[in-house]
Amino acid sequence: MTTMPLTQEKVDQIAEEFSAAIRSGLAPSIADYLQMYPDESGQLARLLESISMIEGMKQQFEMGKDETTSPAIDALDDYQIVREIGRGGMGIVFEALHQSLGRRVAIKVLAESLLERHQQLSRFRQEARAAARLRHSNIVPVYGVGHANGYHYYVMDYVNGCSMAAWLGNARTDYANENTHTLASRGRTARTTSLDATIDTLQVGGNYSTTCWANLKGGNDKRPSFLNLGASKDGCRWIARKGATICDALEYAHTQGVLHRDIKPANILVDQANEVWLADFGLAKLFGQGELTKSGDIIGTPQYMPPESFNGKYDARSEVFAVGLTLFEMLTGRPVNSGRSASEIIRQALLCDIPRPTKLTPTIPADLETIVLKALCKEPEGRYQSAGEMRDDLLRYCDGRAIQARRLSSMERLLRWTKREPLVSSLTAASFLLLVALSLVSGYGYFHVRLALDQVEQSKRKIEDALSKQTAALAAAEHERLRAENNLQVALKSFDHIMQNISDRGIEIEDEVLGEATDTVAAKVTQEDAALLESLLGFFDELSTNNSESLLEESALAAHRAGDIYASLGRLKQAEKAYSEAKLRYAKLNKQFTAVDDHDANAGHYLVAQAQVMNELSAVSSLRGQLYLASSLFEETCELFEAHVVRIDDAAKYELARAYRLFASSGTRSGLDGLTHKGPLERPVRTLPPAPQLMMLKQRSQRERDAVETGIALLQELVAADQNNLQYQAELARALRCKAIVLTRNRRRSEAEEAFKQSIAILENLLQDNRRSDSIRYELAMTLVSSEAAGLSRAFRANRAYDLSNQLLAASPTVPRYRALKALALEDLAYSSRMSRTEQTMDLLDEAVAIYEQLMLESPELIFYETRRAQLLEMLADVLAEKGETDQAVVKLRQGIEGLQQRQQRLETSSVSRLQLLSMRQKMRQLTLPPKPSLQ
Amino acid sequence: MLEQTEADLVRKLREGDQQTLALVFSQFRERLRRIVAFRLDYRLAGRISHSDVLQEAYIAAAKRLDNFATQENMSAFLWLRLVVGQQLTDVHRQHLQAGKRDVRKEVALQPKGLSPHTSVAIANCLLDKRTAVSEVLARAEQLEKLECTLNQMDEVDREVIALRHFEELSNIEAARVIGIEPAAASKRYIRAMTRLSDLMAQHRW
Repeated sequence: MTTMPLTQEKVDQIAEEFSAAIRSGLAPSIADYLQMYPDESGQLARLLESISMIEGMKQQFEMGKDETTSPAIDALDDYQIVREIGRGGMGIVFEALHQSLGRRVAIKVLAESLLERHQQLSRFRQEARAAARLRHSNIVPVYGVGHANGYHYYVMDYVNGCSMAAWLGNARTDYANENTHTLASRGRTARTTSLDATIDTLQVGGNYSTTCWANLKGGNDKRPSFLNLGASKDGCRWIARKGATICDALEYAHTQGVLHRDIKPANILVDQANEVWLADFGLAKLFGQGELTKSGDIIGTPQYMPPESFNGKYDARSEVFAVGLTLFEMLTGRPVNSGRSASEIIRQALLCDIPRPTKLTPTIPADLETIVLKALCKEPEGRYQSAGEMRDDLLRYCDGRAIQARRLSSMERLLRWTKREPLVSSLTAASFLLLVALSLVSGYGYFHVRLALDQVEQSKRKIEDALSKQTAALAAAEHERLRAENNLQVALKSFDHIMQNISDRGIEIEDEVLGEATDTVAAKVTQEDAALLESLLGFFDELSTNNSESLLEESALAAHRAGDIYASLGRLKQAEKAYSEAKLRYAKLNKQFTAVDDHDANAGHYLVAQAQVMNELSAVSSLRGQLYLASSLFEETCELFEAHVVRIDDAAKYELARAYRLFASSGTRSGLDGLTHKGPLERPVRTLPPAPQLMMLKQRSQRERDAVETGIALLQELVAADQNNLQYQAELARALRCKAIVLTRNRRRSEAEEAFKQSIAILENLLQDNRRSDSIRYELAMTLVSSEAAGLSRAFRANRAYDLSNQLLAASPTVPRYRALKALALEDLAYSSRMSRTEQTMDLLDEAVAIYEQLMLESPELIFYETRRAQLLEMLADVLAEKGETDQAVVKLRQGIEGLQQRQQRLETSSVSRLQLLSMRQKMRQLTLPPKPSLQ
Repeated sequence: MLEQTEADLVRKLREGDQQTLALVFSQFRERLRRIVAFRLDYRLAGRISHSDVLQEAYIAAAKRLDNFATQENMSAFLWLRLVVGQQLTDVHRQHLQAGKRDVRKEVALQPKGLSPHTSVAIANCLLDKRTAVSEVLARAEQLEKLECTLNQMDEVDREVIALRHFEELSNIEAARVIGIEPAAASKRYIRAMTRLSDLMAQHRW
């Protein structure tokens, strides 16, 4: 059947019909219309689609704009209405008198304008049914439900008191003012434009709060004044007890299969005896009867909604979160979520970290804060798993017992934070929604056009022009912000990804515990990872300026890890830069804490983190041969700890001990006197004409000895206190090794040997218990190659170290530090075999030189390798010279000198390499001088 | 008969009968309120109630009823709409342009707590669609595109859409407001709406 094309008039008529149908609440189907009016051009279909979209959006918008009118009700059935108490999202609450029983009750009437909506009506009835089943001393009892004069209502006990929200802070004053204003302008009946104004805010009379307080003063429960409730111990206890009561009521409701779904201060009433009541199971949903509230529905007040509920998930743990929010607000007087627009609220709920309550009220006890923060964990799994658990912990706190919640380590917090990424994506969209709703519906553009059409004077129009430009600018700014958010999302994702990479394939856990960042090499962690981490710094910093402290922390951590990666890759300059960035950030974090916070766990954490970064920085500097920088860092670290003596805990002690040891070994690390022996030519560097640096070094030696002794003493304390801590033992072994080296240099051999023996004993012991630990194996080999321990021949030690290095390389053939270790072992072997087998000695030395040359190619920045290579070449030259092969010896010396000279030309030099250069040039001169004429 | 009544009312209005004005105004009150709701700047939503604007508009209409007598071709509704529009203009000028009570300044200087109004509007909106927030939010980006699309349109086309859907005027009324022939208005409307649909389809609406 062919159809006539529809005329324009007809099409328009159909459009009006279709629009009218949507507006009247029908949901006309486009398909039906197309069947009714076949249109081959497809124009009608497209027209109807547009209509349906616009009308649908408009309806969404208008729902919020509707002003609900207060029903003028005098009586409902047997109940005489006394006054309106307030309203919630679902209805209006009246005080009423049950005439036949003479009992005062509260009646909740479903808002008139909402009556037509079947979904809400069903929910209302269900709410009443659910609430009526609950019998608990702290849940407002529901007496019954009814339907009269076209109103649905339910009856509950009248609680004479006020809501918790009425106590809390400034926002309430605002509401009260607004309320007064409304009353004044509209006469007798309390009305507002707000659907969600809560019971407390809408009680008749602007001086409501005062009355409420007057009423409550007679209570027998000792309650401190509310202004500083969280500021006193009693206040905190009181809040904790009330929190426990709320949890108890909730736990009961949960066991009855009822969720409250809208816990907030406004729904917690306090009666004249100061007892708390949980009111308004207003959005309660029966477990297992969820047809009405499908899982996707959003119920509740956005400010008090847990993050997961924005994704349609809600369970008992979500209520724990809401109680946490309430307690937070009671303790600090401020709501956690202070977003001023819906998008901001959703953004905060999903993205921002919960601020620590002590930030706002520093006197809140740590335990109570821990409880609140545990309840406020963004992931349900991290919270108390039931209201009962939370109640028990709150009671433990009240009784002064140890609570079960514990603080999160920064790593845990970080992981949680990065896992939030999926939510971030929806949040960006939320902001868009708001933006569009505002700009479309406020209709500024339309308004502007209408003005023109209405021929309003030109002047007005100009002003409007200017205004809409401003609006456009605002919108553009908003857009920029959203883009930044998008970028953040990408940043978080990459950060998560990199951290995952690092933990997945890179640094083994034991290395993190036992090794040192600068020694640790994760072969598979790439430079790109570090570069990415660095590029994230900008984002974190930008966000941390106007966001939360935690982002600054992530930023510091990112810089710290970037430094670790660079250091392990031998990119020392970049590592130094990253560590410096990290140091700056940790210092900033530390500054936030005053002396008052000294016992704060976080303050301690940041202090340790800062010291750790400074230690890495010092290690990197000494590797780069910048001894001066390393020693000034050491002094800085000492000052840091001196300034915060109170905060020093075991972790801090450990870092301090490391600082001492790093200072004492900075000479070794830079390649100067790296080992106790100095090649076959028994002429140690220090006998060279004193260079200024050398003077400094000499002055240092006493300080180095003192430092290493102090460090060892600290570590011994730590080990004594915690004998199972491998980390402390490994560090102690390192410190002893360092001590031995320092002492050897000072020609105090017997003491040095004692230290070596101790170091070896500790490490052998550790290795016995941890056969698979490469870190311990490495440390042991390092001690062996640096030692002159009595009772162990050099050949034996060298062989053992060589074996160990081969074991290590078998497992991880590319790790530079293992290869360098092998070179050291080879050098030792060469030394011990020198007297007997010259050829073999030279082979060993050649192999070691080759290793260093390879390492230099990979990490050109490490001057250390160049210096070691030069030292080996010098040794080779010595051997050759002894054999009488002067020409060959000169070649070797020249190789070494050239390498070092190139460094010097590129200004990549250190005092150590300069000394080595001097030594080799001197030798060169000796070898190339014509033989002295014999005097005889 | 209805026609007659309508004509009667208009005649009485033109004669300046205040009682008829009250009657007519109350008849159109809901439609006028919708216009106010739609046109009132969101920044004023918290401090100006729609009823107040309507009240003022009513007083203004009563004062200027003689003006209606001169507007021979105008229907009562469109005239009232004009008065309400004037009232809105005044309100905007008064509140958004007067330096002393600049709403934007207040917003910037004294951040208040969230208006519960907005939160519930959003929550309700989400509730009503019976979809997971994530879905609603996923559409938000397309909403933005819709806005862009609308902004790209010819001003008159856009106004036609606004009049017919947000003010819910008939085609004839809309044509009168814009000052073009009904057939031309209808043509513009259909063309703009189909174009809108095409554009949105491109964005996989």
